[in-house]
Amino acid sequence: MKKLMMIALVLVAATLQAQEYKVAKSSGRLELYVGRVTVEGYAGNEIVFTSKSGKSETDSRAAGLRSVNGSGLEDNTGVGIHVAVKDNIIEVYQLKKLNHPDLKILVPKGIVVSFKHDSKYGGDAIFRNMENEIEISCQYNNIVLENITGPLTAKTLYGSIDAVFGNNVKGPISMVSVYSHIDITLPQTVKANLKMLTSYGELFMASGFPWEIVIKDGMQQWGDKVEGKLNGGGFALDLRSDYGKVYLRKK
Amino acid sequence: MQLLSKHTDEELMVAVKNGAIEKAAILFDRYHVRIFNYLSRLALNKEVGEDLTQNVFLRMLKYKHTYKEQARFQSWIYQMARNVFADHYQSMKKNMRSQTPIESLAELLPEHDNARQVEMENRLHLCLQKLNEEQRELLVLTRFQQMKYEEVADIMETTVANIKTKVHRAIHKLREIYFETEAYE
Amino acid sequence: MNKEEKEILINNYLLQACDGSEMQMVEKLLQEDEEARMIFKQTELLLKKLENEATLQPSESLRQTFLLSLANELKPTQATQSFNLNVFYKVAAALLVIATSVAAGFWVNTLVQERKEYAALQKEMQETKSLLLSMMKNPLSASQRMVGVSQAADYSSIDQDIIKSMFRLLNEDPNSNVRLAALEALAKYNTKEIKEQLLISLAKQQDPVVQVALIKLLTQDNNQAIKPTLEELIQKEGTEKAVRDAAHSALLRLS
Repeated sequence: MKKLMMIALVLVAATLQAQEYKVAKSSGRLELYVGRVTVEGYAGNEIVFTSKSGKSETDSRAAGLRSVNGSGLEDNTGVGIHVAVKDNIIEVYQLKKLNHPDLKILVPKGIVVSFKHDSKYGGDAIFRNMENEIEISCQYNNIVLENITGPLTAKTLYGSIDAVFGNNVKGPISMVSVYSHIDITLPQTVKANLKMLTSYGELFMASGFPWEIVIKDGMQQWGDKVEGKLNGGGFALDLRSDYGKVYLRKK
Repeated sequence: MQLLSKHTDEELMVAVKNGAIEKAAILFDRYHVRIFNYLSRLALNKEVGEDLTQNVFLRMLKYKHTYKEQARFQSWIYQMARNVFADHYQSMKKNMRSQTPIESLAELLPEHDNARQVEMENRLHLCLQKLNEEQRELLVLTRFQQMKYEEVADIMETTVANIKTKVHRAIHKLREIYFETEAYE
Repeated sequence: MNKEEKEILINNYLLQACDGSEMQMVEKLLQEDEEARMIFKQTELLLKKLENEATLQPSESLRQTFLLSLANELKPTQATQSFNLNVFYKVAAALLVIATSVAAGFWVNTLVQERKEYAALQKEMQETKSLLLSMMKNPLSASQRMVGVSQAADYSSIDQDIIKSMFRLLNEDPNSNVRLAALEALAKYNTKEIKEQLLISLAKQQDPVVQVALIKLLTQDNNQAIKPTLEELIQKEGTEKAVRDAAHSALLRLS
């Protein structure tokens, strides 16, 4: 009996590992409408979805039936999400409002990745090792970006943004939070027109960044706004947190 | 790219007035750097200088019908620039920003490797800033832009003798300020 | 001769506004009078400094912006212009027939050349503008729209098409960062008309981040006209907490 249990467990674990779904696309736009996600860049030409949570056990009663839910979406991938491909746009939905699969996605370089989530139920949005253009729009999620290049637009109302850029940064880069911090690390050689702005927070910048102040806005009645050129200027780099702090560090 | 034409300023402006608006591009090319320098020096800020220069030439288009055919174009456009600056100055005072932040002064400095040179010029700028608007304007026109007294008198609508006295006073004042500050250091 | 008189003489000498006898007086003064020599040396140095001031160079966008406004001025009169052009060519042809002198031919040639340059210039400006407008409409890439907005902001001070596109982005773009970039660009224009439209935008704005930014911008100059809109936002069901907070503190500041 014990032996059987062990085998069963191993089998379940194996199926958990194996849950994977692929879409053969290496260009276009991936739109993620899920509560939490980890996205990583890789050198392949398929989008690969894997989920660690998914369905933890098979319900023998449900054999031959199909799972339905309030959103009207079905799991058409086997990894607990619904994927719809319309021409060059790949849309990804979670099935239930409160249930966020622990989703990891590998994306080829040429795909624009968009993450959009307005509900307060969710987790971190993590993006790693990506040369893709990234668009992030959410209300509550914290955003973590590691070794990305941009271009990037990121907005979170209550969450924070932490970003460490790789060496070959591409603009424009725009990051906005209303209530939390923005913490960004850039290579020292980056050429950009920098704008940093806060109403009630503070602005911090690593010393030794080669920059010149263009405008320290005297019109500003409260809060802080700094405009300047990094290494003589280049793409637009906008950092704004109304109530939080903004940190600019160098690698 | 520069547009060339062998017509005089006045001929071109008359053409603009009579509907050949595209000729304004030639006048812009002939004058915008000078007007920009004039306004940047008065405003002590290059960005403001650019904005105001833009306004001057937009006004030139808007008020083209007021140009009188026998008038010297240079005087007319500089008078317009003076008015644009006066408007800017008034609104700046209203916004309680009469004090130009010191950072923006740094922008006016030409790029030099020699730190000493920069420091010296910086002082010249600081001293110029202590003159009143009219004195600074006179020095900009006669010294930076090397206009003749007759031309300046025409722009300011006064006599050559009057300009001569005023330029003298401006130089006198500048000399006092400049060598006084040197004495302090 | 007192110091003041000496200085007037010296200044006039250095400014080359002296007659012959005055010049002699100055030269004599310089030989005899220590004070005069000092004034002379100091003034000479200052004048040299003033004249050595480098000419400042405006950015290229100054020229482009003006030419773009000019191209726009020309647009509504295109019909009459092409008519003028026809007349012009007829006149030019007639002139060529009548006047056989080389000089006249040269004159007409330069005029034709000038016309061509303007046409090319105008075309270039229109092309740049439509490029910017199409970038601002790119549905597939938010960063393209951002670049479009920021370049258009550098480019144009009065172009109505561009301003219209910016307001469309501010009110309708799915991406908040793009909306904010459009807001920032519009705020730069600082005209009464645009401020009024921004106030209207606040009333219908759906994006909380942009609502917060609009509130901050519109209360900057103590504008009391915004109060009713703020009160409405506070009372409206479904207003985000962040927006309500910003509206409350703005009302406190304004009262």
